[in-house]
Amino acid sequence: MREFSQNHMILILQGLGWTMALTLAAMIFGGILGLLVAVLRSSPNRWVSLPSAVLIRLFQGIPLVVVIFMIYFGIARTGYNVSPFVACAVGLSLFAAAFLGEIWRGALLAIPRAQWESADSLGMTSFQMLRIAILPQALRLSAPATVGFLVQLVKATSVCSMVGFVELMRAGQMVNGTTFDSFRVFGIVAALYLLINLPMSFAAKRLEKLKL
Amino acid sequence: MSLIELNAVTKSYGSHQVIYDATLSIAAGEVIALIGKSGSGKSTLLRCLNGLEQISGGSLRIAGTPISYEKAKLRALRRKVAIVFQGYNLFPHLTVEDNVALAPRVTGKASGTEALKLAHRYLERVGLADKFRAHPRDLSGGQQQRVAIARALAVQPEILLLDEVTAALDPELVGEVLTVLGELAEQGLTMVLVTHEIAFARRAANRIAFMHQGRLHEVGPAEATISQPRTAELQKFLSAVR
Ligand SMILES: Nc1ncnc2c1ncn2[C@@H]1O[C@H](COP(=O)(O)OP(=O)(O)OP(=O)(O)O)[C@@H](O)[C@H]1O
Ligand SMILES: [Mg+2]
Repeated sequence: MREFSQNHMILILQGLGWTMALTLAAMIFGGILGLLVAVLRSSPNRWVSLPSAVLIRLFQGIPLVVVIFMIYFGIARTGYNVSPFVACAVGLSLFAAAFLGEIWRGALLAIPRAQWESADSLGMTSFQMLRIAILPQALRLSAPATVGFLVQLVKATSVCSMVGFVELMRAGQMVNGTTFDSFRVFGIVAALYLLINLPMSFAAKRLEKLKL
Repeated sequence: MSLIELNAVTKSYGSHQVIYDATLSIAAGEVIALIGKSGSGKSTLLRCLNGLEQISGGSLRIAGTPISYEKAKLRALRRKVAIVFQGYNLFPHLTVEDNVALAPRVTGKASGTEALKLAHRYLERVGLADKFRAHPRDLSGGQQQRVAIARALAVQPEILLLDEVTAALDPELVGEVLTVLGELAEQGLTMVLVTHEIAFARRAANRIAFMHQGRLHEVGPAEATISQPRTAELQKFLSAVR
C-alpha cells in the first residue's frame, strides 16, 4: 500500500482528459448522426424514417455497456483489433445519436406547420427550409434538453472503464487499488465529474428561460 | 392575356369537396377581394393559386403556364406568386431585415449586402425604416404583419396573395396595414386578398368575388357589387357583416 501522491493525482487528471475526449468525440459524431436521424425520422416516407426509428429504439433500449462490449469483444473475434478508445467512442456516439436524434425529432415536430409553409412559399428548397427556417428554431427549442443529455453523456463515459480504457473512473479504480484511500480517491473523482457537469446543468437551466 | 386563369377548378379533401367549378380570369394590375362566410373556401382557393394546395380538377394557369406540382416548377411559381398569412409566420430567430432578405438570397437573385439593401428598401416601403435590426417578438402585430408584407414583396412577385392579413390585429392596428395594401394597389401590383374589411375591399379592389359554399357565387366590379348585390346570398352576407 502506498500513500496518495502527486503521481496519483496526475493519473486521475489524465483520466479526466480522456473522459473529456470521449465526451467530445461522442458529441461531435453523435451530434452529426443524431441530426441526420432526427431529420430522416421526420420524413413522411416510411423507408426513409424506418432506419432511423430502428437506430433510436436499438440504442435507447440496449444498455450502453452491452453495446460497447459487442463492439470491443465482438469485432476482436473477427480478427480486427479495435482499440478500447475507438470501441468506446463508437458506442458512445451511437448512444448519443439515438438520444439526441429523439430529442431533436421532438423539437422538429414542435415547429408549427405554418413555419414550413411560410418557408415553402418563399421558394426555398427542402434543404433550405430545414437549414434556414426550421432547424435553427428546433435546436434552440431543444437546447435545455440537449445540454441535459450531455450531462448524462459525461457520466455514461464511465462505462468505458469496463473494457479497460483508462478514463476518469478507471484511473480512480487504479489509484484506489494501490492506495486503498477509497474515500479520498473517489471523492476527487466525483468532484471532477461535478466540475464538468455542474456548469452544464446551470447552462441548461438558463437556456430554458431564453426566448426564441 | 390574363395573369391568372382559373377554369372549372375543383378541390376536394378526400370525399369532402370544398371548391366547386371556380372559373375566373384576373388581369395584370387587378386587385380582387375574396369575401364570404367562414368555411366558404376562400383560403383554400387562395392557397391553390401558389400551389400550397393542389387542385383536384379543372385547370389553373399562372402567367400563361399551367400549374405543375413538380418541386422545381413549384419553386419557380413561388417566385411569381407570393403570399402573406393571417398569422404573419415570420421566422422568430431571424432579425426583421434577415426575414425580408431571405427571398432574394434563397432564390439567388441577390446575395449578402445586396439582399440586405433590397430588404431595407421594402421595409422602408412599409414604413419600418427604424426596425431593421429588431426581432419579430419586439414588434407589434401590425408591424409584424408589415414585415411579412415586405418579406413577400422582396420575392418581387407578379402576384401578391393575402389571406385575412388584418384579422389577427387589434382594431387600432388594422389601419396601418390597410394603408400599405392601399398603396400597393395604387402602384399596380396584382393582388388577390381575402378580407373581412368590406369598406376597404370596396375602396381598394377592382372586383369583388363572393364565395358561398365553395362556389364563386357572385363576381363583379367592387363598388357596384357591394352597393347593389345581385344575389340574395350576398345581400344576406353583407347585411350580416354590417
Ligand atoms: N387540410 C384540410 N383538410 C380537410 N378539410 C379542409 C382542409 N382545409 C380546409 N378544409 C375545409 O375546407 C372548407 C373551406 O375552408 P377554408 O379554410 O378555405 O375556408 P375560409 O373561407 O377560408 O374560412 P375562414 O373565413 O374561416 O378562414 C372548410 O369546410 C374546411 O373545413
Ligand atoms: Mg380562411
